Amino acid sequence: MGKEVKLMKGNEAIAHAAILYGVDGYFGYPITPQSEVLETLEALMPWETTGMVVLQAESEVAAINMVYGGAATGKAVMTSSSSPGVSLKQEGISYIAACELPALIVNVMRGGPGLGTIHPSQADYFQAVKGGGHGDYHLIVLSPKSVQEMADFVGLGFDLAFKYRTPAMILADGVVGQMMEKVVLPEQRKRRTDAEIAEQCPWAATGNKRGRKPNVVTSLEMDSPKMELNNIRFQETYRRIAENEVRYEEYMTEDADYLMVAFGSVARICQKAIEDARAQGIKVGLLRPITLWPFPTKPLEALSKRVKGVLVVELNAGQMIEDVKLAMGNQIPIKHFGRMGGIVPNPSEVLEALKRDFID
Amino acid sequence: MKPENQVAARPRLLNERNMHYCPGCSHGVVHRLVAEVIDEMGLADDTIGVAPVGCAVFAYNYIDVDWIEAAPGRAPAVATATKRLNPSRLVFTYQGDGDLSAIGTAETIHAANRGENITIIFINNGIYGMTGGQMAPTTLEGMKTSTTPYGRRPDLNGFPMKISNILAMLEGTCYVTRQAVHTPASVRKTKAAIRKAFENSMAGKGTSVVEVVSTCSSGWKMTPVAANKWMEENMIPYYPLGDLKNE
Amino acid sequence: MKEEIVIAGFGGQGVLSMGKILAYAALMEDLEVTWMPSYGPEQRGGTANVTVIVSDDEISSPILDKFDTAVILNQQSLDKFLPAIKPGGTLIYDPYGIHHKPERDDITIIPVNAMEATFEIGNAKTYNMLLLGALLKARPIVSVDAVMRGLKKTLPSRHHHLLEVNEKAIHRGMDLVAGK
Repeated sequence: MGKEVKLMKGNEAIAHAAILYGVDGYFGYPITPQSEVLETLEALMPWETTGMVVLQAESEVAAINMVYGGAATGKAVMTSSSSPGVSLKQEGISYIAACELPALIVNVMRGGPGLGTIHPSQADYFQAVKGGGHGDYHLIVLSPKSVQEMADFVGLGFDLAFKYRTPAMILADGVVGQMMEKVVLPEQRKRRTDAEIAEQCPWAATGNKRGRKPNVVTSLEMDSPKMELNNIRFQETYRRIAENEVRYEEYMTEDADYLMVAFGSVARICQKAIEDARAQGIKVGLLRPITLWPFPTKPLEALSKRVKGVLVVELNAGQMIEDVKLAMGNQIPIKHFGRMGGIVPNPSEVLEALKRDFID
Repeated sequence: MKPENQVAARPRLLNERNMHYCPGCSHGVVHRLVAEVIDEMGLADDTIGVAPVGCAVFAYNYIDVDWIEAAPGRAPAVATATKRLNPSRLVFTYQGDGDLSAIGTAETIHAANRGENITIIFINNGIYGMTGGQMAPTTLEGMKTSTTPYGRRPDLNGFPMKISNILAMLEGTCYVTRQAVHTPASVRKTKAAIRKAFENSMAGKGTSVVEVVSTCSSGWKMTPVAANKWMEENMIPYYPLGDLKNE
Repeated sequence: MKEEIVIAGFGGQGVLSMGKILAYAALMEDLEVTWMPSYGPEQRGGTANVTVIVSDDEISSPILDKFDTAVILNQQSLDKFLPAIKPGGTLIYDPYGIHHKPERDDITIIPVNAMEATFEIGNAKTYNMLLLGALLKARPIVSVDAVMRGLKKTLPSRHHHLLEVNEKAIHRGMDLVAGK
């Protein structure tokens, strides 16, 4: 069964992949354009098969705190939402990060600010990679460009979250959430047993404290020198993640005069624009960050010595471009092309922007 | 002292850390009762407590079970997942009136409405203790707090909220009771109520709520004795003791 | 082979599901495929459109501004997508409710009287299958057999009695083109 090719939406792939990964619990709240995650899980009834808990919470705030409650006991738990809902989740995300708990949060971004639109956007980049809640923390942020990656990043997200004991986020957009594509789902894994959790997560408040001292999961530390030490430990974790977990993809950069930088579905729009540009004799390449945090600073730094100009394409007013500029310096022009409020540019628009900035 | 002459002892699960609670505070008594009941039920190694934000934020420092410290008001949401993912454990929240009936109203009502198999221990002292004596939803009319310095006025601040009565109306609750710990008899009744609530949680009967009408001598700016008297004369008439629901 | 298709009309005309059936047929034929809808409340009553790309090779952008083939079911969509058809491309449209006829001489224009045919069949739900038949006649990117296998796989078995009427509608749609 495992290698069967299926056709489904990105949101549906998230739900299937969660069950197959052996996730213990999903807690969510309906919001367009990601409601299919909760709907698919409720339809598949995984509590009858793997024993996975699925619960529609009363709010995003409750949902993320349920994730916190589950993660604190060492379980693999997740939630998904879209931009306005993810704003509500920031409180819980900060607590989860502060308690050094693994968890997976999915944001299928829509246009904002405010209630905004239900259409695709990437305007939550800052919120996701700079720490959307209070305090000094990072999420591991994965950016899928396809339905296949929506499925794959559920497992990757949990693996990284548990490896580093820190929450991970899949930062998708409405295009990847709503489009259907072919996908090969992973093999069914067994959910971890309580004994395995006790062994792998000795910090967890499992309630089974036979033979050990009580485990307390808390982010509160009234003694500021100790709280600073906690922060120093968090930063050390982030340093290790930045050292080991940068992921990115390069496309036609070998001979490129110009570079596009884009993430998620926009990277694919850029790919098409690059195909068209090359047909017109313009040598363009693409770097697609797969991890938005940690950001692929080094490969961009290397490319800054080879290309004549950079176009950062995003569904926002210019967010990732700040990290691109930090990586690439000011020796070459770095321009931005963005559409906002749920508008997705087409490949021709992207190519025109490149020509306007660098060729004409 | 001969062992047979000993009539009282520190409960095994209540450790020897000095509590930070003010003299006369009800929290210490309720902590002791919770620790005793968990131990007496043989659940010392099978319990997860969820601590609130408020004076009881450090409950985890005193009772030797596993604990999760929740964000303000979120304890029932945290406990929902904790219990659903660990159904064999005793899961309870320990919350104050600001935590439970203001910032956490939604989480409390919906956890109770779903009938989560958890116990909510609810300390109602009519004030925000930890943050320095501000008005709570449960603050009585005319009661002076740091944010109602001339007394609570319903036209400005609304009415004192009887949240347990609301919870008793929900299909998901199986047991809602209001108790106190100001006399030896009331302490015994509260202990029995906690025991019943924990038994309900382990039997999967739905949500149990034990409200404990309490004093806050610091917040009320009274001596402990005066606070107990004030509570009897003012709090208990508005928040009468007894079972609101027992199914 | 790579076919970039847009299907557009009113919500409720079966635009998105027609695209979906085409996408499943492509899956049956081991082709690469993307299906990208305009999503949201406008699906009911307003205009709806879906971009379907079927290809032998990996597909880059699921969002396009130029199309090989457009299947158009109302005037608004015709106005919007007529200029987006590549030279040499194909326009399939239902003249029902179209008051400004499409005029381009660098594309193949195929009017298909699907609404009329639907009235004849007496089953409004076959409307999009008639158009799918017309599309497959004009652009044989997948086989009717693949469509039927895809339908069988995706329709709940309680609806399998509808397979026959759908297959008939596809062939009727093909005939509508052949008749021209």
